[in-house]
Amino acid sequence: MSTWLIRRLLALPVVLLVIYTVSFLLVEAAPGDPVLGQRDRIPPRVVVDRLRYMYNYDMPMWQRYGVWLGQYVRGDLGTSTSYGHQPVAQLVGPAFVRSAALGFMALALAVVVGTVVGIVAATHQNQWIDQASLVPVLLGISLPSFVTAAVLQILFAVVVPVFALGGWPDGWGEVLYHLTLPAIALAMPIVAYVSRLMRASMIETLRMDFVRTARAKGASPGRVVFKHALRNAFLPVLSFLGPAAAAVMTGSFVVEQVFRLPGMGDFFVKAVLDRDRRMVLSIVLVYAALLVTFNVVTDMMYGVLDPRIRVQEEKGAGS
Amino acid sequence: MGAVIRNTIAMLGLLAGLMPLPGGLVGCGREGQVGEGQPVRPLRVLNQSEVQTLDPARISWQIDIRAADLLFDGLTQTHPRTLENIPCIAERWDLSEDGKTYTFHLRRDATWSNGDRVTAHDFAWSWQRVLDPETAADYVYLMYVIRNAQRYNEGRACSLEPLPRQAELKVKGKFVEAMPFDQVGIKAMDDYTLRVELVAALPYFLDLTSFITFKPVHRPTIEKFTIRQDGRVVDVDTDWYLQPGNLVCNGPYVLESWVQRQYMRYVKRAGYYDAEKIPSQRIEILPISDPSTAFKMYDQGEADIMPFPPLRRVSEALIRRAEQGRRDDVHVSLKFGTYFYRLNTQRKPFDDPRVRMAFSRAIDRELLTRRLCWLGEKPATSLVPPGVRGYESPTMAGFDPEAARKLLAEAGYPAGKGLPVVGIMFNKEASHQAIAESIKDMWSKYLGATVELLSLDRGSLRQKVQSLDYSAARAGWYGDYLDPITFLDMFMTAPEGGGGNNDTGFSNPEYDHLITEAMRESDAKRRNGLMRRAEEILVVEQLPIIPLYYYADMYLFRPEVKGFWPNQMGINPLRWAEVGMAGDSKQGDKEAGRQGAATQAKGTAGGRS
Repeated sequence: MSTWLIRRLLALPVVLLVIYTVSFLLVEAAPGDPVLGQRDRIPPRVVVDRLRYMYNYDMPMWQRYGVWLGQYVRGDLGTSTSYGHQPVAQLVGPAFVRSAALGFMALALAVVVGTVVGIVAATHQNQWIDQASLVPVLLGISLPSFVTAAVLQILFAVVVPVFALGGWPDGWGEVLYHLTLPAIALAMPIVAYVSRLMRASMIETLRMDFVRTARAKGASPGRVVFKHALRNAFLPVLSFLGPAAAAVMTGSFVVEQVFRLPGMGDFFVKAVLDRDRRMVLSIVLVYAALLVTFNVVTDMMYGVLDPRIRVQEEKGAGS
Repeated sequence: MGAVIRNTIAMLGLLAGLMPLPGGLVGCGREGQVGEGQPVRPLRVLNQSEVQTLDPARISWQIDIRAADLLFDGLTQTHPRTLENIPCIAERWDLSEDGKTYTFHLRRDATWSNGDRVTAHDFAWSWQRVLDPETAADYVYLMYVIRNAQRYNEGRACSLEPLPRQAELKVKGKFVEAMPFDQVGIKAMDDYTLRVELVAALPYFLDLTSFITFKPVHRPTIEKFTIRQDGRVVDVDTDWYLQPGNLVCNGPYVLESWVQRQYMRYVKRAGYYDAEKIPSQRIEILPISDPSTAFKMYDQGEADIMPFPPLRRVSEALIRRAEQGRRDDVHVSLKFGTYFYRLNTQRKPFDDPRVRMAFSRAIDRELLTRRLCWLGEKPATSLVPPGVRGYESPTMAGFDPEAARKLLAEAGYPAGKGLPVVGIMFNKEASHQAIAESIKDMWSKYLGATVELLSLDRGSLRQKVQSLDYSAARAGWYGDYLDPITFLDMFMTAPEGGGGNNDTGFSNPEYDHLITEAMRESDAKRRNGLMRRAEEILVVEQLPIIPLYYYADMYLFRPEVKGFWPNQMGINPLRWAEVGMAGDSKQGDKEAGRQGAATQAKGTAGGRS
């Protein structure tokens, strides 16, 4: 296990280097002047030249690649061209924390609700309750988040004003008031996927020999599901949750816009429009680092949940 | 896809925003009422997006100006109701007989927020900082009206270049020798007297001294945060304004807290010299980039002023309601800005002025604005919008398809035969697309032209336009100050003239001469004559551009908001604004220039650049 983990962790910088290189080339290839951003009017040449110098655009591309790489290695995310020379880390840091907090809420909600709905549907296969569980699933999958977000906002912040119209909570006491609706909007598609995966996986697991044995031994239906089948049935959900966690915790542009939450999503989209290359690259790298980390964590969790995988890993490592 | 999302959100926004709301429209802030008749809560103002910088030297966006104006005082200030420049830090000023030298006498009771006195040296140093190339001030060119300022700026920039580059510039004859700052026409005569020498007698110089770029910064603070490398200035650490504790300012408010992309909270500064004229104890600026969300917040009472329009359908519904007398918070005003198309005069078919004229005359601007604009934009008859005192623009030839076809035939393209394909480039936005499609139809119908549309992002469009890789391209321009020259100098021969914004390939020696003369001319009447003749060349004879309409804008603010006045220049300082009790608005706001919504709503507004 430890050898495997070290191998995976050593691969992390290589993966990030490849992602940095590809992203760097892509943002460099994009049309538009990175130092002029969204300006309609062109400042005098003296100003444009100085801006190029400040942001390393006065040097050849390969040299800029090296300079920025060196900065990333030192943990310096650079300076934003579109936010008045502000350090990217200073801008993105708090935004990331907010997106991650909201994402975590959404993910927790999605896992709990999705798993429960999936189990209930699986244990009542082809009954009315199974059919009824399709309704939220279909809504979650088919409705885009800009619609669900706006509808939730209208229903629960305007018509029946029990939650905030938007904005980030000022203190812990306001967390539920401000973040419930965006967390639901963000969680809905994940709930749908998780419940479907859970249902299919649980149905399959419940037909397996070890479950039959458990039943034969007189275990109660609840014990069969939660003690014996759930661990196995959860594996497909787990593999979905790795990348989903990275995606949901790095922010959703639409949900953040509608609920005016100052998260990462808005930064990313605006950075692309502004040609703020450094901001784009830095956000991509943060996202990539998270994705790779969550994948590693997911792989580790497989071993925790399924002893057979742990045993195989150990055998593989030993051979 | 983007349009679908926007439209859906717009419709939902309309639903949410216009449906009767529990509790009506009265604001319901968290802070409680202080006392009867007293402002009950902070004035809350929406901003289209997060502030990018609060450094006056580097500000170039309206959203930043709105936020920084509360913190910094200049020599003068433009009153938003009258657009007159009134004393601020300068309590009075003298103007020399030739109109070229201003002597500002500063008030002695103005202080910085840390207690330091505001002196003429602060202004001289801050203006020098703007002119120093290391600051990279977007609006540095506004200071070029000061004697030797441009030479100082360019000379310093050349001296900062590496030696091989300096040699290269010398060979090309583009090297400017550095000059000491004491040769620039900015001099602090003593602590409270500032003398400014201009290159010419400029009627709009006080507009400039009211502008954000000319506001001073606190020298010790900036020096403390300056980043140096090998003894040279590299940049300024933005923490000097990002952390409210660091920010030393001289305006009526201090920044109490700033949570990026959530709010900026200002509190009235105790030691401000003019504190009794500042009505609001607290102001909050809320950055909301989604117009639909912004409108919902405004209509729910979470904001008092929305100084930009909601999405089109909501705006139209609001204007209709205002016209029916059902809303009194909708205000539309014409802007000192023009929406126009650039034509590439270096490329066929627009290398011939007759063709340019033909294409201009084939556009029905009345129809265009009636169908596609919704905030009361007016069809353009010139480049310079009306509103400049003493100046009347020449009127360009209007819509006449017959005359247009005749001109085209004279140019060798009878009934459009032989015309190359004409491309219209515009930046991605539904309103620009609709206008381009309409113009395409008109050019095809009336001239027989084959027209292609190309939608680009703003950066790509600018790149194409700058490299003259286009036929026709959408453009918009808002005047920096209320003078025709802010529009006209743009079309002087590039690259020396035009400030880098000509982008049409247009070059006309007479035009250049007229503008140069106008910049030097002291006599207002003669100066206006020179500018009028120049504009005549531009929009009557040569047409490197096709003006389409004059911009308009929409503001929403509650009837109980006092001291906030929409105007043509978009100068909307919040320092005099307050939110009173509902019904208070009659008290001091009659002269506010807030023409009734219904009257103003007749003047529409629309496409934003």
